[in-house]
Amino acid sequence: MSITRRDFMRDAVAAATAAAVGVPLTSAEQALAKEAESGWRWDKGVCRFCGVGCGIQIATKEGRIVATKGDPDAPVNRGLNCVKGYFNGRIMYGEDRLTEPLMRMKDGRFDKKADFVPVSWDRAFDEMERQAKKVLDEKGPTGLAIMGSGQYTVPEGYAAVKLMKAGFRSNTIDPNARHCMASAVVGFMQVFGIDEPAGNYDDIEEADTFVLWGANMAECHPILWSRIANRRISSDAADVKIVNITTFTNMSSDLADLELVIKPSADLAIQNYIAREIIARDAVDKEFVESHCVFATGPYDIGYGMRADSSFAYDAEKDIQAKELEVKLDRFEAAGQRREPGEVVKQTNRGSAGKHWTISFEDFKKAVEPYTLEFVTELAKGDPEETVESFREKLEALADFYINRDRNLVSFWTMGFNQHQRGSWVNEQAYMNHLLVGKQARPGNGAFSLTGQPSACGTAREVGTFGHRLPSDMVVANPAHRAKSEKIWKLPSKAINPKPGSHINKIMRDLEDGTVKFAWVQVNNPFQATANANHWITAAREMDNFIVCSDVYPSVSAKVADLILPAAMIFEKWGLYGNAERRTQAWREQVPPPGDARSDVWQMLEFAKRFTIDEVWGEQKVPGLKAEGYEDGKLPDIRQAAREMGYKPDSTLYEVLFANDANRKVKWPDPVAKDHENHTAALLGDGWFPEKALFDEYTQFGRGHGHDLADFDVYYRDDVRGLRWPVVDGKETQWRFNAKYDPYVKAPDFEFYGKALKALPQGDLDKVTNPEKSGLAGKAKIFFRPYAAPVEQPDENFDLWLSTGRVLEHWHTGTMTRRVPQLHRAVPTAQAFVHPDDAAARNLKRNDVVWLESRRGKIKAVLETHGRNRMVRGMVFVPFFDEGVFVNKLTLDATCPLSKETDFKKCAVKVYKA
Amino acid sequence: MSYSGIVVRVRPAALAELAPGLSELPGVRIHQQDTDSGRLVLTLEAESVDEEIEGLRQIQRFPGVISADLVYHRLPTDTGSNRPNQPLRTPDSQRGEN
Repeated sequence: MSITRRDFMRDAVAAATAAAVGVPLTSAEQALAKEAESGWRWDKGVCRFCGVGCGIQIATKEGRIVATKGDPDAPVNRGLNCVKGYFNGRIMYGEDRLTEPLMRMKDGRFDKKADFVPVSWDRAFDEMERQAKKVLDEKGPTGLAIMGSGQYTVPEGYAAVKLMKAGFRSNTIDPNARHCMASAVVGFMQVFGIDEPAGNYDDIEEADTFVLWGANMAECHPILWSRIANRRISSDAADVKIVNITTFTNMSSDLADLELVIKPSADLAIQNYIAREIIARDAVDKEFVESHCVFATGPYDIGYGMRADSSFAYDAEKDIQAKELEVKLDRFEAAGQRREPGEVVKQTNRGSAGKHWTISFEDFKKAVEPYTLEFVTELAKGDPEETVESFREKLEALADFYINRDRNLVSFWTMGFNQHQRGSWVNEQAYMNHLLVGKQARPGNGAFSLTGQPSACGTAREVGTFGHRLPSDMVVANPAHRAKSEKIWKLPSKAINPKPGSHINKIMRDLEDGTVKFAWVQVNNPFQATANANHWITAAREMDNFIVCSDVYPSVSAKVADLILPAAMIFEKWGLYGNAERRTQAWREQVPPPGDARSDVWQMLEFAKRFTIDEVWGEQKVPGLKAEGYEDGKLPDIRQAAREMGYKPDSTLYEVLFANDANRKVKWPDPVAKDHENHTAALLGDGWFPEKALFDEYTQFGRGHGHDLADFDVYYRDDVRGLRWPVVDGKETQWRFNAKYDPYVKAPDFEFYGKALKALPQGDLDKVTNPEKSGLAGKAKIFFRPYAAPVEQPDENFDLWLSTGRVLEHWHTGTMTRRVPQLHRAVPTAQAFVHPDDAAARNLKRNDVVWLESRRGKIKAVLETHGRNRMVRGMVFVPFFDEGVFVNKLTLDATCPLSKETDFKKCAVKVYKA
Repeated sequence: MSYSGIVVRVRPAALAELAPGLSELPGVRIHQQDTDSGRLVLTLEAESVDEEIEGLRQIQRFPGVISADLVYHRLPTDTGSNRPNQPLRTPDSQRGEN
């Protein structure tokens, strides 16, 4: 390339950059930028990589992406991108991109023990159909499973839920988002009766105090961090403070004014300390609490979400597993539960962890009383090198921030809270303190759950791709919700199975014990991302089952599957995502998928053509089904009812669920496409626009119920950069539950109008005393939850804590970011971050290759004693992106018993030289 | 070769002092300086994503830089292919192996 050409490119890139962020350009510079982009087509899109939801612009030429830029008109990121912005374009062009179906075959037949052989799509679907029908016959509908994702587009998630719940009558569909924010969901549902945050990112510019609870935003949410940094550094008048509460010093500590390094699970106690201080210093916002809140609690003996029996456990696992049924309390737990240290408590409520009841303020006050400054300092101080006095001062300063009425305070959290054996409790506690001081649902004030995946909120949660959910916060266990869904979906009564399906951890266990025998993995990599992975890989490969994996690159999950279906990536298909602030954003298909890769929507719809309603809507057995009206434990035969609705016995699920009369009216081609293609519509070839038809059908669930979305076409308008729901009369909603901003609020100031779980019995701190339920319409709940110790802790044999998490360059399990050839050289092989003293005590030094071993497995990693994560003594951190360092072979599959979200942050390991 | 456009933010008063050092970083050229807001527009020329990331990191780590954000990324058009896949190896579920 000549110097002139390079100079030209550089100057053009500089001009375009300046234009994007509003630095003034001369007319010559404008002309230059334009010339360098001649023949390009620009269109709006959304970043593929996290829940922040940055807007980007994508340039294509001749069917290939040639440039990307931060979208200057996107309110989330205002023209900026983090380093992951490099990958949106490049990610599609990895050399090992999957471009044809691959099946394990020998002598022309499927053979589970054979190697992968390229097959046609027809051959792939033939085998899927054969295997699925065999399993339906043998196990009933719940023998079929889908492992879905928070990376589903809205239409993909909706198609998956409808195929499973309406078509196959199986609720065995659950997303990897379970691993990411299920605890946040439980927090929202329990406290507010409706999912998703009250506030939004605009809070950043309105707040002066930011408290990070288990959220390394500098590394994991850099664009939001940039906005916080901007506020911290540039605000002249405001005294902006940042608090980082973490189990080790990370990149977010660099900008923090106050850093609290705490012990694992000590967040539960710290929240209670803050609540105790609020009460002790008479700082409760009495008017707000009396008008808008009630106090509540629930059982403490709820287990740890592990299997109840040890028949599948390795011998080394059995000691921890036994704690699922009974636990000996340590003195910190005992104090909060008003019991004696050493008392053995049977985990009686492990099957009913979510039940709760109202309590009096006096009881609440009594409950937080043990969490004094001294008690919590002793319990929580995480760095052995920090003095007691120093930690105490920090705790007091933290409480001051909450209590100071002049401060606008936002709490942010991600996986440190959510991936927690008491994740739902600690989410509830975050609201507890915000509600006590009235700092909730107001601009600049609120507890805000950040998310990790681009559509964990918009798809996994809102569409309801969970075992227990239906769209718009409805659940399969509720007869009225089933009836409403059956009506919108035009199904016979009793089509939907009332028994909640397995959560994603349990789907893995179901594969291990043979309950599930057909599993379809979509848009995620669960065989790498699920804790205690040795079990599940063995189950996939050695049990009699059939595993399909739709993927873009050969991930761990693809490699353990029996059939790999090549999928289209983000800008090779139409889609919409919903980010963490309720913003729904859309993009068009920009480039064609390579080879025979096809969108997930096309794959599901083609599969649906293989089943007639006569085959799937007969009487079906569902093991464990117990529900009113289902006394025989079976789903009824609904074929006659279907006939009466006008369906024919040989109507396929494709015709009934997807290409039905209403949806076929949504025609492809459509003016909203401008000159963009739609390979899904083209391949289906029957003249309808599946993504648009499915989205507009889906919006029927939420309209009028506080989940209102706009029409499909609105999100594609040139002047729209996403809209935050509820979208009422064309207007988005910034702060929910606040009369000034939220059209659903009928009260003069605040109304927590969510309807779920709003009729409760009354009780004291230990039990229900009056079982008669009373209504709590419009109110939020302030929960008391005690400290609970992690179920597995370091001991003489496994003497260090292990925590896992992300690093900036990688996202999800690295299947996409690791594809870009040189990308993973930046972080070549996962490192094990260890304190220098812990290394020295084991005769180890930086860059040594070490073994990390837990009760469940062992892996090798490179020892790092410096770098961006600075450990306290006793703590090891290993990032989880790298399949070469398969950290989930070590992690414990204990979950929050309410949310079933795995705790990836706390298990015990030993480290020794390899 | 790929080119990225990066916006760097420094304290306005420090801009003149920091700019020469930034322009000496590998692959970096300064195109615009906005002394009022403390913003600089840089381009980064890189052979690979590896170099791009390291380049951006170097800018972010440069003393006095408050933030450095990627804005514009012009992809190389001569990389990547969609060749047939190599045979896949099943991950080993044996304990003690990566």
